[in-house]
Amino acid sequence: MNRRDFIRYNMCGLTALAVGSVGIPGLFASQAEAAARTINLSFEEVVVEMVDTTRVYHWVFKSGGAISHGFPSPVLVARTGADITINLTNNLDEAHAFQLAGTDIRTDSIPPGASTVLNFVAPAAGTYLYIDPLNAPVNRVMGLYGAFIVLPPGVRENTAVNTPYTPPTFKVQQLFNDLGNTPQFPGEPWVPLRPEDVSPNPDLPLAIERLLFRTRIWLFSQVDPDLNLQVRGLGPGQIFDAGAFRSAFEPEYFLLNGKAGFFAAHDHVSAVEGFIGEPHLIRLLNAGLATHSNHLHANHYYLLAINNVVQNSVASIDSMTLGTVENDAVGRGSLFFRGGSTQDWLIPFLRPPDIPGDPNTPLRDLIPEELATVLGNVLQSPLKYPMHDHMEQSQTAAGGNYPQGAITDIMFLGDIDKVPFPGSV
Amino acid sequence: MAIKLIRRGVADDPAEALKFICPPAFSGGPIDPQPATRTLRRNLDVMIDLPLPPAVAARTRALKDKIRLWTIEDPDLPQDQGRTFPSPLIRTVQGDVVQATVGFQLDAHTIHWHGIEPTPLNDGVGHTSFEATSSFVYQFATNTAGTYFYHCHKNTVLHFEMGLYGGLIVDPLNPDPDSLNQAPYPTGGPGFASANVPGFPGFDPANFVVPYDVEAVWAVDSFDSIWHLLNHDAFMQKCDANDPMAAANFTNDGILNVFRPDVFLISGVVSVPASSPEVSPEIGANIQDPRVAINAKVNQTVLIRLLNADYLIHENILGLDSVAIAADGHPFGVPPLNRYSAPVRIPAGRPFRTTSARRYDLLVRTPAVPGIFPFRVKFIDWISGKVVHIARTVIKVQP
Repeated sequence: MNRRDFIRYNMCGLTALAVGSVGIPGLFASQAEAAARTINLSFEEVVVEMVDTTRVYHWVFKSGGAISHGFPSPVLVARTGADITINLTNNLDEAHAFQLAGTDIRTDSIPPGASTVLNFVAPAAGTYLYIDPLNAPVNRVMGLYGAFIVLPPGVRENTAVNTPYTPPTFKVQQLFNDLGNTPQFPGEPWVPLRPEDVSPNPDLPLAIERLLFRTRIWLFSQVDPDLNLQVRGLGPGQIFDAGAFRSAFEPEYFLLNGKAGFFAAHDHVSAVEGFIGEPHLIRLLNAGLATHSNHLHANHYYLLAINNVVQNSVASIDSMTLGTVENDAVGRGSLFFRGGSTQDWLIPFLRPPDIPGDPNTPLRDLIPEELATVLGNVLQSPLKYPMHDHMEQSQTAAGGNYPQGAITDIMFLGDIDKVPFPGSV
Repeated sequence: MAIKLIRRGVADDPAEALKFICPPAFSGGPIDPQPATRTLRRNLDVMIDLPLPPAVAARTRALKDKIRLWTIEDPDLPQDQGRTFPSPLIRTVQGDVVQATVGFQLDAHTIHWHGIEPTPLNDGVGHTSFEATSSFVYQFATNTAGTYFYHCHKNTVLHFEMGLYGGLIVDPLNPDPDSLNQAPYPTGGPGFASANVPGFPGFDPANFVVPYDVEAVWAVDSFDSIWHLLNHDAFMQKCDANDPMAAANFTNDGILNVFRPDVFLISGVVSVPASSPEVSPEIGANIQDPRVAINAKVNQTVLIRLLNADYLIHENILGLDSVAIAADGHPFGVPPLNRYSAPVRIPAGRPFRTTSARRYDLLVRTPAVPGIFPFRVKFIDWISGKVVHIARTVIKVQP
């Protein structure tokens, strides 16, 4: 582990771990991080520092391998159809379990100090939340959640598969076929993994760098420190009443990939950074109890899938409901109803379409004054915009301090011809 | 053994952090000007007090007979029309280059043209650009016809709640250049909307527009009366150039994470409880105010532009069949960018939902016989999922 990654592993933020019999060659940089059929996860306690330095007790799934930091729990990555074995050890003092939310893939209750083995076949390609389903929602909201990403076969070749799904719907396939091939989408197609001949992004942690080449994962959660403190105070075997937890839940911190506000906005793992014409896939998950309404500036996005149901009609929208695991239990999500606890977007990375002026003039020539403007000792170039929840209560920390909540950035680094804007590297 | 501590992140860029927390002040504009095809003016903020009906005032937590609102004024209109809640509607034409001269009289604010996608300096987000003082000329194009809105994006959690928003509609051209009714169309109708609805009366498949007779804009909102006692910078973080993210700079007594609305509205008209206090959820009387209730004739097309301007989940139920032709200003099925989607039929009585900032454009064909048809919206808490109020209005169909 290099120094850069060592520092990261003591910070909130995403790490990833590949799992399954069918490897994803080249996904991760080092042999230690390469796909293993078997991984070890344990249930542990950690203390997580919030954006204002308030310390909050949490539970997490901890991986036993090289990547053993703590919050949020590691992203697990597999190929669809792979045989997967997860060894789970409960190091906490009440019963816990593991489930891929919305599926039958789960363990029985694991008593304190006990271990169990979960064997399963990775489901259809998509974006899944793994959780502790016991005493719902308490164990999940205490931190026992993570992203489980299932890739389609053939992604290694990059050209064999050009969508994230097996199979996509007709309209999703048409959209991905059109990227980079039609007048409405000048630029490039979407690329599922960083190609071998493109140099790695030094700003991303090695263990996730290749997966996030034209992809981002946005894992949302909310924290009520008072409830976490009460759970910590319980004796061995005691559990917090789930109904009381739900009705008392009044979150004070709103996290995106375990971070909030400035730290989430300036996190290269969360912020989307690309040149015009470089489409990005976003995988959104909500582990919490609050419904979000996520608004992207600068581009409308295409809503590809809700709870891994690939959409037949792919709407171009600027704000979308992200529901909860509890809502999923009530019924299937849709554009017009509950948003699902997971969803996928495609950001086409069009040149922001309402910039006046000749669309054939590069922005570096059309808006030179803006690109040279310095405000608050920060150059306005490259072009930076927010993505934030429009249920604006979630843009707070400790009841205020706007915008230190669930927010990140989208940044346009340069024109479609790959000439960077001033200040972009 | 000590429990492992996981840190919040590294505050290694004080200039970026300070700009994130305390956006710089700026004025002037337009930046990189282009020839404008439409100009308009706005001022903010203008404070107005919305009177509350006694039945509402009696059970607000603030216990006042009116509620303080901050609004965005159109200074080119007489005051009774220019100082309204929601703020006066803006209409532009598809393809316009707009220059909006915005005056900032009280404190620093911004305007974000929600769903319009210009450069960051024209996008009105403080921490990625600036907060304006005195005045600024925002410049943006309106290239996709549909339903948008504009709102202040400073301490947004509070400023949007306080009423600093209004509708923004981008009209498509009338396919008949000789018609007397050219875009921008009169608010209330008649006009044309972008759509792809083969078989719908009057649909023009060459231009992807459909005519409507009557137009309604329903901005559905709720207020927490306690929040309306606060000041502009309530619970903001302190500005500290040396160490912007220091723990000491955070406020810790805020209430803006907890939204407990006690006033419910459609397009600025308060829903007055009609049910007895022990009925839960509370049900409002039918709103008859002409700003909200729709008056149409038989065999007409009504266009409803529905906006969630709230921090709650809305479950909407319309008593007539409708066709959703657009979401968030982008029309389903209209090529090239929206050729991957299709309009959605919503049968009468089927609930559909929105969350904050989401918009639907709904086409309704009135029946051949007169009648009164209901619209209901359930206000649902974003965490508990509980319905806290039901507001109602009507579509009156006359001979």
